[in-house]
Order: sequence, then C-alpha cells, then structure tokens
Amino acid sequence: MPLYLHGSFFYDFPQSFGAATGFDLPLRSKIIFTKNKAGEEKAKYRDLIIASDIGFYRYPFNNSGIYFFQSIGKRYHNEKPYYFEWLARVGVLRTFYDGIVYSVDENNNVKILKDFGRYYAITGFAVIFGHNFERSTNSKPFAIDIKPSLWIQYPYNSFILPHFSVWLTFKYHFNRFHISVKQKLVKKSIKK
Amino acid sequence: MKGIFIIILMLAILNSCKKESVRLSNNANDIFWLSNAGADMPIWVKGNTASKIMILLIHGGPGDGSYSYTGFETDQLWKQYSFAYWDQRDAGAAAGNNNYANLSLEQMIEDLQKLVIVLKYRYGSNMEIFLMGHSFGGLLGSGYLVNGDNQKNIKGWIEVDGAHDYPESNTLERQMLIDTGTSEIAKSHYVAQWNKIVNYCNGHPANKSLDIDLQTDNYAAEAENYVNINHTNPGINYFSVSSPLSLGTNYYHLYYTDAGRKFLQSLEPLSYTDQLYKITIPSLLIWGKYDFTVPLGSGTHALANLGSVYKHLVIMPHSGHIPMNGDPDLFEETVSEFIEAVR
Repeated sequence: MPLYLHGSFFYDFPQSFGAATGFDLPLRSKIIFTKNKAGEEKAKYRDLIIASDIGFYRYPFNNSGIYFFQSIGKRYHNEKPYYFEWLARVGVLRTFYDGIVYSVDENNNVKILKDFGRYYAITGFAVIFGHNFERSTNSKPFAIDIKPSLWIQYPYNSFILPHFSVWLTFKYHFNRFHISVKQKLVKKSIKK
Repeated sequence: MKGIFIIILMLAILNSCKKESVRLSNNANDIFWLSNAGADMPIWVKGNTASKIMILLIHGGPGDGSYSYTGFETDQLWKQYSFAYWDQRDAGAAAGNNNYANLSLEQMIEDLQKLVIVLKYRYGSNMEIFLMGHSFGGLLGSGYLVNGDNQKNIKGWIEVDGAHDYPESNTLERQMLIDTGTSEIAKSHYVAQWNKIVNYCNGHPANKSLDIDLQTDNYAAEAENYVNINHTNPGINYFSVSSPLSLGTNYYHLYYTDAGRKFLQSLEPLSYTDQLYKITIPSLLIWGKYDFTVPLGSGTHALANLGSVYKHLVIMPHSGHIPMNGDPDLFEETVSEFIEAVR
C-alpha cells in the first residue's frame, strides 16, 4: 500500500492562511468484492489510515502559530480515482503574537517578552474529498484533495476557540515508499 | 557549517530589528501586546502618533472588544491624533490559557495602569494620553482615575455614555423606557413594541437580578429603533485585529456561561459617583440624548460630581447609546475641540 507525502495550503476563516506538510498511510485495509446479478464483480476499499501534519499559519495583526496534528480515520475508495476520507485529529499549537509583547513588573519596569505566545491543545474533525491520479487512465503517482475541517484550541481564556479551515493538499507517492498492510477480503453478492 | 552560522546570524539580526522599531508617524498602524496576569491583550494604534496625542479607547460591554469602534467615522480624529484600541482581557482578540479566575474590575484597572506605562515607554513620556471610556469603559476608566496617582499620566478624561454608576444607570434606564414608552404609545408610535417594553419594565424592578438588568439592556437597545435617531453603518474591516470568532467566543463565554456571569454579577452594585470628586483632570462628558442604556441623567449627575475645574457635558442630539454612530461629525468636532482646549 502507498505511503503518501503531502504538502498543503490552508485558509482558516476568516483571515489566516498557512501551509503544512506531512504524511499519511494505511494501517489496515478491507477490500469488499461485490458481485451483481449479471456476475460483474466490483471492489470497494475501506482503509484505516493515520496522518501526521506539521504546519504553520499567519494571522496578520494577531498571531502566527505552528502546530502538529496527529489524525486517525478512514479512507473510502473504489476502482474510480475519487476518494473520501474522514479524520479525527488531536495535536498541539504554539502561538506567537504579531508585534512586540510587553509586560510590566510590580516596580513598573517594562520588559519585552521575546517570541511570546501560548501553547494550546487542539482537536478536531476533517472530511476529505480527493482525486487519486494513480487510478486515472493515464496513471500518475499523486493525488490532490480538499479538506474542510472544524477544530478547536483549548484552553483559550479558560474556554475554547473554534476554527474552520480548508486545506488544499497535494500528495505524492514516492515509489520507494510502500508499506505492507494487513488486508481483509470480504465477498458479497448483490441480488438485485 | 558556515552557512548555518550565517542563517543564525541573520535570524538574530532580524529578531533584534523587531525589538524596537517604533517610529512616530502621521499614519501609524501598529500592533503590540500587553501580557499581564495570564491575559495577552492586543493594542492597535492608528492615526497620527507624530501629533504626540493619543486617545486610549476603553471599550464597552464588557466584552465588546475594541474591534467594533474602528469602523466608526473617526477619520478626522485619526488625522489629527492617534487612537489606541485596546482589547480588554477576555474580550475581542485578547488571549491566554486558564485566566478566567483573574477576571475582575480590579484586575482590569491594573491592566489599564500597566498599559498606560507601556504606551509612555513605547511612544515617549511626552505622549499626551486622553482616556476615552464608552459605556462599561466609563466604569473602568473612572475606577482607574480615582485610584492612587493614576491621573498624573492622563491629560484628559472623555466619558461617552459611561456607566460609572451601574445601579443609577439601571434605575434611570428602566424609568426612561417607561416614560418614553408611555409617551410614544399615547402618540400611537410603535404601540405593540412599546407596550412589550413598558409592560416588562413595570413588572421588573431595576437592580434586583442580573437577568432582569440584562433583559432591560436588550430592550434599551431595541428602543433606539423606535425613536428617530441616526444609525450610520460602521464599515467594519474584517481583516483588522480581531477575528469575529475570537470576539464571539469571548462574548459567549462572558454572557452565557456561569464563569462569565459571575463577573457580570460582580459589576452590578458598582458605583464611582461618590468618588468622582477625586477626578480633577479636564473632563468631557458626551451623551446621546436618546440613550436608554445609560440615560443622560447619569451624565448630568457625573458633571455635578466631578472634581475637575474644566468639565463639560455635550449632548448629541441625534444619538442613542453610541454617539460616534449617531452624530459622527459632531462627535469628532467635540472631541477635537476638547483636546485642543486642554492640550
């Protein structure tokens, strides 16, 4: 099974933009063969996948952040080039405020806090709609997908800060990166 | 190895450039932060810092954020002076981790004290700072000014429909809604709408519970639609400092969670009326004639109690609770005249 390396650009509504890189790979794959009344057989794939991402965003006049997301989810595809995935994600975010950060001590001395920001836990959910060119007629070792995601950072002022982001991802399958994955075959007959 | 050394050196140089690149300008657009007691608060400075005059805006709410004020027509004031838009802790784009235990008026007054010190440090000790407190900002600004020797850092106090006395504001608000509503019903103006408001106010005395006072505030805002006042549309810049998401999150936390409501409850009995005599710096009170939320009576009462020799109350004839929206030109002119008179 392929291991994909990917690069993404993303937009976090309403005004942040950023980029990310990482990899995703299947852990387990289930292949479901179905046979219809006419005897035609089709294969559907259900892959348990994990993905890791490291990225940054820039929110002008507010803050920049670097983050790490670890995700687990499922990929649904068949013999066509399209695929769908969902991912549950957890990670960590470190922010850096835009502009100088000052603090004032009890003696009224002003200090500049270098590279000041905060750590946050992050978690969220993403769905992915993609096109895998390896399954196209003219096969190429890459895929592109679009990933809308809802995620939250915590604790933000003792509460949560929601985000809605969209990633545009380019995945490349290096020929040398292949991993062996446990596969389960299921056969089904469809009577109608 | 040599390459790595050069990269590290360049990063160090870039970082040192970030340290202090504050230049006075007639078209400043600066962002910086104050970190204090677990809260990181953005300050956005716009306008003419070279004028050496800065209006430090203390926003209302609490929790409104300074974001919404940047859209009002203050172009002329930006040309003449500079504005510092400060998001108070847990409001607007202010951030932090677990800091809600520190949310109190006392802590916000300390934040303001430190912010003024930072402004003087950053822009020079000869920067003349005028405090402008709107609504809840009137309470916070008054609390700051009556405290210790804080006034020595401030050139003038501009209170805009300020709630320096919550119980008084609540009482006057309810009475004004009943009086105006009764009068408008008699004139057959918005009868159904006014009946709803008047009936509510008659059945719910002021200063009895937070829920009643918040609902009365909602009706006070609604009532502005039933009298003939101006509402210009502030042009909000969605690419400015605050994100609507952080603004909304902070607002929701304040008004719809127990932790936030505990803070709001703590404000309910607060009044600085009996300490206003301590304020002796030049003071300008600007009030909307049709402000139901903090009615004009609060302004006239403050005028009588302020200790300032130079003090004026200017009534905005077409305004409700937000005169910079209702009478933008007169508002600018009034602020400018005051600053020029006392600078």
